[in-house]
Amino acid sequence: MSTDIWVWISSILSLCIFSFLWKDSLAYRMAQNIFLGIGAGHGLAIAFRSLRNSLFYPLFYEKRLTLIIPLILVVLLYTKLIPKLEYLSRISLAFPIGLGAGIILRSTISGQLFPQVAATLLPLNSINNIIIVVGTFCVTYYFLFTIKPRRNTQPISKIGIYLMMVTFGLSFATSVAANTAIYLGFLQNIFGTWLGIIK
Amino acid sequence: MFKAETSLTLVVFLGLVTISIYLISKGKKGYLPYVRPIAAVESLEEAVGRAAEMGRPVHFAPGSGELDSEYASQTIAGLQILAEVARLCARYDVELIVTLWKSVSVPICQEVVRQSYLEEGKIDAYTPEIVRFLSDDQMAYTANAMGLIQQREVASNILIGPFYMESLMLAEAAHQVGSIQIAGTARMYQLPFFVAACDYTLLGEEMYAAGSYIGKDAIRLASIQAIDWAKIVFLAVIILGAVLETAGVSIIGDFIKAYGN
Repeated sequence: MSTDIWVWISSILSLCIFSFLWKDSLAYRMAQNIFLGIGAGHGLAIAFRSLRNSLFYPLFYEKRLTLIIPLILVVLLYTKLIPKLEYLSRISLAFPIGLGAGIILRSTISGQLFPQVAATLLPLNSINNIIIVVGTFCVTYYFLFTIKPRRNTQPISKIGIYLMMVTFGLSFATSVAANTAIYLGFLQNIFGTWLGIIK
Repeated sequence: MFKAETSLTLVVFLGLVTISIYLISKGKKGYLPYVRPIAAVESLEEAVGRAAEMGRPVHFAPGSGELDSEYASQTIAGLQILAEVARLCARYDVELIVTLWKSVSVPICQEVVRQSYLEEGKIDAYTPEIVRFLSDDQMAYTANAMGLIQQREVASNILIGPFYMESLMLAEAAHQVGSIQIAGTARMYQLPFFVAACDYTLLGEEMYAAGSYIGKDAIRLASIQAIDWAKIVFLAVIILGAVLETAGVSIIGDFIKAYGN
């Protein structure tokens, strides 16, 4: 049996979390609140460090005056606490949304759309290639929302949805296999490192 | 500076903008395109109605709530659906619980929910505490959201947005208390979990269409139609390209690789 206090803490807390599989118990709630407290404390520390290293230090010591803009945005965010000035907080919120949208616009076309199209331009000379081309066509067809479904085109959507379900099944099985390895690691930790029953 | 290798990206972008502007201008004149019904959207009222009958809350999570990354569009789609869920909750006097793990989206969610309560004439029932920021740590959030779902025995669990590994955990917690579950994400790795665990699932782009479908807003519907037109063009390119490749001509693929960076 381990004599390391941290092994004991991590093992007991892990078992508390696993008790959720039985029901929402006192043990689970205790672990949940410890987790929340540690998460909040850690988050706060990271946020302060980020503000210090990325904003205050470069702005006040390195005199990078352009950082006044994010500082103003941060201050404006807190106007939400003053009902009369609440509308000013929307400026801060609009900034990351606009920035995100702008970045996505280009990367979606050049990073996702074109590679997908290029990868589908295959000679129809093998079963694999036919499945890829026909599959891409049928799945994309399923996602056409403004075309009224007709009896003769419905099979295309049906093939699309079946192909997606097969893909989801494979993806699910892969995830289960990967998580089984993690679970075995957990058992190794409990019965090996902590209790010393297995080696 | 203009780079020749990005010219195709620019052309496609301008083409999409042009189609969108054309269809939006048509929409402003009153044209509403047909949009096929989406089962998960149709079931939102059923989910909130069930919560009203049982006297239990509705839980909504807009995923990670990211607004400054490639997943921002998923968050925005989730917020559009949150607006409808909040509207229904206000209408039927059902308690709504919104949980988040990205602090930046808290004020936006609060604004969305507040607006919905205002539109339903139930602004007195709105409190900022409807939207709960649980933790910035993903797993701390998940543990708490699971506990909340179980402790409050939520009648309906609606998970729409960009989700990570918390997807199945939240869905399983709600399944244990017998919640009706509606989920949606465009994150390929998480979709199988939602399909397996939830009653209704919005698959990928259905989530974006759902937001437009709910409001029947002409401009949003026009954007869905514009994307459909673009898809039809690219389907034609794929078919034509595949036929040419079969004939030994790889002109389209080479062109995309040369100018689509």
